[in-house]
Amino acid sequence: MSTASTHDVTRLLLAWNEGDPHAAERLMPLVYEHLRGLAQEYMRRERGGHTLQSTALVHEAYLRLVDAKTVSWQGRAHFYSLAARAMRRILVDHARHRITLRRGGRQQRVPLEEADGLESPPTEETKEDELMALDTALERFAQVHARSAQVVELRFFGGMEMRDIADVLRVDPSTVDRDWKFARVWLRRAMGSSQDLPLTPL
Amino acid sequence: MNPDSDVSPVEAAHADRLHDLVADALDLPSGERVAFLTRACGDDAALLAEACALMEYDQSANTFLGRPAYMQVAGEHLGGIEAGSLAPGTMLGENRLLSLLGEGGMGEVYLAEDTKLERRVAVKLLKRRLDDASLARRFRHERKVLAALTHPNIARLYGGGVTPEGRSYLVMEYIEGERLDKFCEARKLGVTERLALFRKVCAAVSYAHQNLVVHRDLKPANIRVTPEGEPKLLDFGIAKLLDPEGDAARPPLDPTATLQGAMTPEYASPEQLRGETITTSSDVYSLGVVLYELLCGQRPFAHLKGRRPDELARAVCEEEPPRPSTVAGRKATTTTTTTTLTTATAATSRQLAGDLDNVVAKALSKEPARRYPSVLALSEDLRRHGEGLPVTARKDTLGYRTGKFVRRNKFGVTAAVIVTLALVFGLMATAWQAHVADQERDHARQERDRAKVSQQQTERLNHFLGTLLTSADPGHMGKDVKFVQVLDAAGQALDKELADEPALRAQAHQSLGDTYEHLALGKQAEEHHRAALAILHGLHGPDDPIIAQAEFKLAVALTKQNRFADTVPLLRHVVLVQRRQSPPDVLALGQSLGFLGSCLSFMHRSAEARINLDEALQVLRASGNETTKAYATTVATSGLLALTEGNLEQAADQLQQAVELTRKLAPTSANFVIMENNLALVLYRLNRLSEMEALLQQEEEDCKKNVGQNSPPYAAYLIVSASLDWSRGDYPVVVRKTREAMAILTAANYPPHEDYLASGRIFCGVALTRSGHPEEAEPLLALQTGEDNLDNSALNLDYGNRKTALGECRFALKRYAEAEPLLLDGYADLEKRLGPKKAITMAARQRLHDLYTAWNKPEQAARYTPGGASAPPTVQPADAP
Repeated sequence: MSTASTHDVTRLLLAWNEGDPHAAERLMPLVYEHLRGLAQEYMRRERGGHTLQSTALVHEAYLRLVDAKTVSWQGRAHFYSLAARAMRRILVDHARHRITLRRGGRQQRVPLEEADGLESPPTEETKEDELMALDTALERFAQVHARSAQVVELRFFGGMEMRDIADVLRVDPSTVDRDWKFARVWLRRAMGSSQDLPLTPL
Repeated sequence: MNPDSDVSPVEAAHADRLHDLVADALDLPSGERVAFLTRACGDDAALLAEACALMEYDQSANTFLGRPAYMQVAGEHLGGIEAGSLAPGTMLGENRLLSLLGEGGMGEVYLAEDTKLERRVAVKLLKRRLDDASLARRFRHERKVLAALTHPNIARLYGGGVTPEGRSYLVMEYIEGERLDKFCEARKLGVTERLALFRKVCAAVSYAHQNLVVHRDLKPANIRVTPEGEPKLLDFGIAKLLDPEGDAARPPLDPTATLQGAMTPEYASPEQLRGETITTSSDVYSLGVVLYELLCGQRPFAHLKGRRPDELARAVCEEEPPRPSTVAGRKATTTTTTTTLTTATAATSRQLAGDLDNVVAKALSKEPARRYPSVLALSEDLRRHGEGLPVTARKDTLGYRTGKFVRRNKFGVTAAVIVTLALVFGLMATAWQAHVADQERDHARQERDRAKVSQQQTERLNHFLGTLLTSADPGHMGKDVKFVQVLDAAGQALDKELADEPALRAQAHQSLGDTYEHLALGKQAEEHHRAALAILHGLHGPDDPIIAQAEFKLAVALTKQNRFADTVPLLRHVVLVQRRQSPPDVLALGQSLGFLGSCLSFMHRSAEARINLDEALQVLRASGNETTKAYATTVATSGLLALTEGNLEQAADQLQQAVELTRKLAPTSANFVIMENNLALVLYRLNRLSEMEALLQQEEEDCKKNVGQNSPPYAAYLIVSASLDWSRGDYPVVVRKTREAMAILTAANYPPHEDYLASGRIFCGVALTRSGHPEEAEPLLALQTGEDNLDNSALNLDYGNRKTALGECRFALKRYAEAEPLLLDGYADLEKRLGPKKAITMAARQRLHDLYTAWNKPEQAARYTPGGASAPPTVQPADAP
């Protein structure tokens, strides 16, 4: 990432703090693009055998995009929230795109690769459908349980640890933990009772 | 339950309260949640209903969203959205793309038209970029080799190229056909026709092997059958092409990555999963899986569906899958769907039993050397079978399976504190299983009565089981190989014999499962209990007590394999059902809670274990069941847990209770001696040696009276009692007792006793060394150095660990140079595990000091001066300021 965008992101975060109403809007596409590249890099590394990154994606984005010295706690919190939101959009956009592609080509489609006996692991397709369902459910969840929904966004989409989420939200870690537990049962229910949700880790 | 509605009014009104209640309730053990919510919600029925409804999703929510989204969704497509798919009409070389056929791990596949030759082709656009020039060269070379393969049953590779964006693509023969498995199902082909098709596949693979090409990714999805009925293999060698670095540079596959990647681990051979060299033998294995699936309609490890991929991979590498005939038989009786071969499954099962089972098993051998030497040999055996000739494949020998069993059941206990208790827990695991099996036999008998089966049916079952099983149950006394073979045969016959009687069939499966348990063949026991459960699910609702009971049995079978984590959800459900039952079966509930507690303590989840065990004891006491075997076992388990909690006095009290109760109720059970042993160990730890001595005397009497002096429990008694002699320095007695114990255990030849045997060898060896016979000790101790997962520091025997024991022996033999590394290593281990201040560690230090002194190396001796702190060899002497 070029230092120019580091500068941009930092500047916009500061402007956001000072109440610039358009700062967040302008920040979003920058973060979105950067995270998409970063996610790709992560996947490549993972396939190379270096599984299970310990650093959250959004942390790495923060380190690369933000000049930490000039940004306050609030700026950092803003950034993480925005980055997790961006990550969610990236994945949802992507899922939507794949689903559209799939529907388009369905008539003649011959599943040349693995085609899903009951025993096979969830395929990407179902994951994508589930992701869309999660996105919708999370939207509704946020209407009533805003903070819990944010915990989900930071954790599931942002990949952040409980401790860091507590820090960003300025609440006790046990509160984050409770929010998370509650959110999971709530969302699970809202998404229907299917026993084998593909978003369960393999 | 209503995903499309907006937020419910109840929820909107009570958002925060609901959040708090649910979060609080989720922190409670599942059994207490409903009661808690009922109290907390008071009159607000709507809130209560909402909260309870959410509780239902807890179990399933446990792992939900467990890994960040970007690690699992969309994977490598991320960011490649625009580049991912090419529009129809795009030209790649001579080929005009027509439509997207499919996509998968490797890339996308398009239907295209070769404009020059005017034929339809499939174009495979690879994800992988070949940026490196030598990789690209290698790729082109491989491509040429593959393009040279011309066989009527192999889809041709015509050529390939690179897109303007730099992605490689391959142009292949376009096959209009169905997947092999779907083709067979759709036409309801019988075994003979399936085998004919499969042999054509073998011929094609064999042709490729002669041309030195290995497929590496054989699976039904890669085998298409044309409308004319000709099988065609797709993607020959493509897997290699995509991995042009070859095997040498390949790190072992991470199974997690594998499942998400291109390869399907269900078809991959053990060596493939381990990342070892892939040969033609790997294709033999994959063909074995395809054959398996063709014959019985599911993959060998389909019963592990839903497991984590690393577990699946472990199963592929270590476990024996059920025989195809068993699976087919099970399907015949449990499914009503129109999957594979159902029209003739009972008959199919018969057809598969014997030769075909053996052929499949041979192809699926874990070690390549045990498989068919070639695909041709596999195909030949199938031909011989077809012509009624004997096949070369033989049933896997029991010895081989037993070997696997021993390896699987090595106690993998690592946490330091538990290590010191390994012997105690090793004893206790057997105790629970023995106890539960006893109880289960009683239950089975009651159940048979309760099911109100007709006299005739009962006789039929009794006859069936009786003829097979009345021979003496060898139980904890050892294992009779012939008996096991009889059982295997029974398992195969059962589904046919009792095809029309599902309830009886389920019982028969359970009886067989129980018997396998006694033989310590947990895997087979599990299979039968799973089969029973599957049958019962077809007959009863999910929360029927009969289901709960079957789940309980299955849980017992799982503990035989040390799979405690898998028992927890089963037992939680059992407890749930039993709580709701009316009238309540309090004894059963107490027993389930106790068993759950026991499993949790094995998983070191002490706090949860404590809750369940205490509730179990309370339930049993409150219902007047204080004098039952269930109570005795529960109180004993609680005592052992107290031991891990550091509460030795409670441990002694509770074990004392258990022993006294069991002496009255079931003095003949193997369980009893084990309880006495455990109590003896605790008394030893408490230094209440005179009580220990009295107990041991009583125990010897009990043994002689109840189980005899040739039984493994007596051997265990001997080992424990030898520790008392050890503490008095009476080594000749230790030698005598441990030798006797080893003789008994060796004769019993019962794999789970390996741990006792190991203790016996080491006690005996050290005692021999110390009573002046190190030359006799050495072979015993040398046998034990390989594995060091069980230390008997629970007994405070001052020899240290296996390394120091052997080191001490070689020291006594004056072979200083050989003793030195053992004593150094062993000392370092002890220091790490127990800390430098423990008596055992200091004794090991003293021995090093003595060694160097005797060896005339005063400088080194000074480093290990007794009483000093740790002294790495390169630093100052430990006692320097």
